Parts: sequence; C-alpha cells; structure tokens
Amino acid sequence: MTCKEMRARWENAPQAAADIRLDSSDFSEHIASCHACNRFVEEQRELAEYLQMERDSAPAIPVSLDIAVHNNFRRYVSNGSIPTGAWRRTWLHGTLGWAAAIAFAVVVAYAGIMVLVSRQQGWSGGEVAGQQQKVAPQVTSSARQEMATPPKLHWKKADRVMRPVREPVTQTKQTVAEIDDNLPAKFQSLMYCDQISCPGAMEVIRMQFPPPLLGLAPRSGGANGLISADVLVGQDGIARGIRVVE
Amino acid sequence: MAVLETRSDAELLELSLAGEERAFTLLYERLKAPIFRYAFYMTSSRTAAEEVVQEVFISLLKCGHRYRKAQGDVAGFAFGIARNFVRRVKRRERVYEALPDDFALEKLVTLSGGEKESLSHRVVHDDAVARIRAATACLPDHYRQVVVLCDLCELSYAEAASRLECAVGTIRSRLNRAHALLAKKLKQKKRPQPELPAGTEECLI
Repeated sequence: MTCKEMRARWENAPQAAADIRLDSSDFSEHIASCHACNRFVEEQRELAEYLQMERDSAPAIPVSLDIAVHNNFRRYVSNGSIPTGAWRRTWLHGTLGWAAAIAFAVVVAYAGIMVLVSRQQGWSGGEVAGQQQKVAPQVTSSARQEMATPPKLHWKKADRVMRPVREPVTQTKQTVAEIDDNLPAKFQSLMYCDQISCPGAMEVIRMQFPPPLLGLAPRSGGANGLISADVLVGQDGIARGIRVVE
Repeated sequence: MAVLETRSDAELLELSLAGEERAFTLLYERLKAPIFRYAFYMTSSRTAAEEVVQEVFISLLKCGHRYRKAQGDVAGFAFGIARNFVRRVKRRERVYEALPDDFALEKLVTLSGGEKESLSHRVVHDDAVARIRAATACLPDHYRQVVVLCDLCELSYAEAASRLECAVGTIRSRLNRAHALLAKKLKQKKRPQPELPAGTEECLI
C-alpha cells in the first residue's frame, strides 16, 4: 500500500471506522514502515480523542427547557395562534395579498399612463412651437430685405429651444426721427443727438471756415475766401449741427 | 401514545399543528437533542442553545404548514430553522465578550465538591475540551458546520449533506480539510511556551 492509497482510504471512510481501518494488516504494515503516515494517523487518533471528549462534555438538556417549550405550545393552542386549518388562513392571506398587489399594480399602471399622456401632450406642444420657429426665420428674412441696415439677431435660450429674437426695427427709425426733430431745419447733424444726449437749449454761433475744412473747393468761398456757417453748440460746448450760410 | 410512536415526523407535525399535544411532545423528544447539540456546539453557549431550541419549536408551530414532504424530512426542515437562528444569535453576540455561563459555574461547583482523586483528571479533561472547542470555533463556518454535524452530532455523511444541501463528496472533502486544520491548531496550542526568566530582575533591566 502506498501513502496516497492509505490517505484515500482513510478519507473515504467515516470517522467511526478508524479503528477498523487500523486493524487491517496492510494498514498496520504501512504505518509501521512509513514515518509520515504514522504521524498522520497519530494526529488523527488524537483528534478523534479530543472530539470524543467534546461530545462527552455536551450539557444535558435542562428540564426547564422542556417545560418552556410545552408552555409555548399550550399558549399557542389556547390563544388560537396555532394555525389549525392553516391552509384556509394561508389561502385567505394569500388571496388578500394578491388582491392588494394587483390593486397596487393597477394604480401604478394608471399613474404611469397618465404621466405618459401628459408628456405626449407636452411633446406635441413642443412640435407646434418648433413649427413656429421654422416660420420665424422666414419672417425675419423678409423684414431684412426691407431694411437698409440689417438689425442684430441674437439667440435667447428658452424652454429647450433657441428662438431668434429680433430687436424692433422701428426703434432705429424713431431715433433718426428724433435727431431730425431735435435739430433745427437745414442743419446737418455732426454727432448723434437725441433728447437724452442733447438735453436743454442749444446755442447758434456763426463762424467762418476755410472751404476745404467743409469739404468744398478752395475758391468756393466769399470775398475773403471763407465760408460762413451756423454751428449748433450744446450746453456742454460740443457742436451738434452745422448749416452753411454762404 | 403507542400508536403515535409509529407515525412519521411529518404526520406528528401535522397533528401538532392541529393542536394534538401528545404528537407535539413526541416530535419534540425526537428533534430536541440534535437541535440542542448543534446549537450548543455552534454557539459554545448553553443559554444560546436553549434559546435556539425554543425558537425552533415556536417557528415550527407558526410556520409548520409551509413544510413540504417532497423537499425533505421534518428534521431537516427544523434544522434549517435552527441554522438560521444560530446565525442570528452569533451575529447578535459577536460584539460581546463571552462570560462563563451557569453551566461553567455548575461544573466548578462539582469540581470543588466532587471526588478529590478525580480533580486533576477533570482539569486535564476540561483543558482538552477547551482547546478543541477553541480550535473548532476558529474554523471557517462551512468547515465548522461539517465538523459539528459529522463529528459532534454524529450524523452520517448523507444526513449532513441533506442538512447543508450539498453533495456528499463536498461533505467528505470539507471534513478532511477541517480535520487537517484542527490537527494543526491543536499542535500549535500544545507547543510549549518559551521559559520566562525567573523573578522580576529581567523585567527591571
């Protein structure tokens, strides 16, 4: 017998058969000749003795435990807590449980459908808004053709979509008109002037300029070669407009 | 009672659930010892083992209608409940340091008041038991379960396999590995301690 065979036979047999194994001749011969197997068997026998001692040292079941368990049984019987006809109660509990579960599932499904419907309505509203956005650039392009200077376009973020927002064109026209209204007749504006930037009354000063300064030919001036012009000066001393007199 | 004794555990359980006390008593007598021993060896506490036995039989009364004969015997069903309770007790008691319970005190009383000539023998015996108990407690849980069932509760491999719901080969291999680990641990514990220097001189230097 080899060591491997001896170990295999030892491990395959239950613990109670240890003595029988040791009694067999081939076993004892091998153990006598092999030091490692001898030591292994000794260890196992020692362990078996320890385990036997542990088995013997187990405490006895106390009588108080028996009494307690029987009292529990009697209490359950007297209180009706023992599931006598348990299958009926189980069936009832099961049915109620299933009914509650189905009702809950129905409520959840209804809520889910309602949420879906409301979302779909929200999406369709979004589509309409998208169509409107598609129309909007057409409108702006036509307006752009009408205007001399194209107005600025900037994008404004709102509710997932970028909408082109056009500044009102009329505002620019109004500004030009205001300038014209603020200056007296036949005056050419020298700078931007409206009610805010040109507050209060302005003063008219007649001045003489060399013609090239006004962008005219050098000989287009009067007797002294100068051109007379009225200059509108604001309260801050800045010239706002000019009118050529001669 | 004579008629009841011939009945199987499943029939006794059914009668117990119907309120038959004699059937319950008989079932209790059949199952209490293995459950108590299993709980005791797994928890190393008699109090915890008593608690587990009580809880198992209360659970049998409460949930016995869930037992299905096709899934195994009543002992296995009860053992499954006991295993869950043992796990719960161990989880609960993990944070506490174990104190010698009343069983240890009882033994102390018997030692002091018992026969004088057996005192040394008892001390050696108790020391050996404490060593094997400590070594078993140090084993991983799946090895400890097998040692407790096969070696200490003396179940067969097939019974242990049905209790732990695994193959017989698994039980066998786990048991061999557990034995190797136990032998190693016991050898370590038996190793003599290095001699301490006599007196307090060495400590003062």
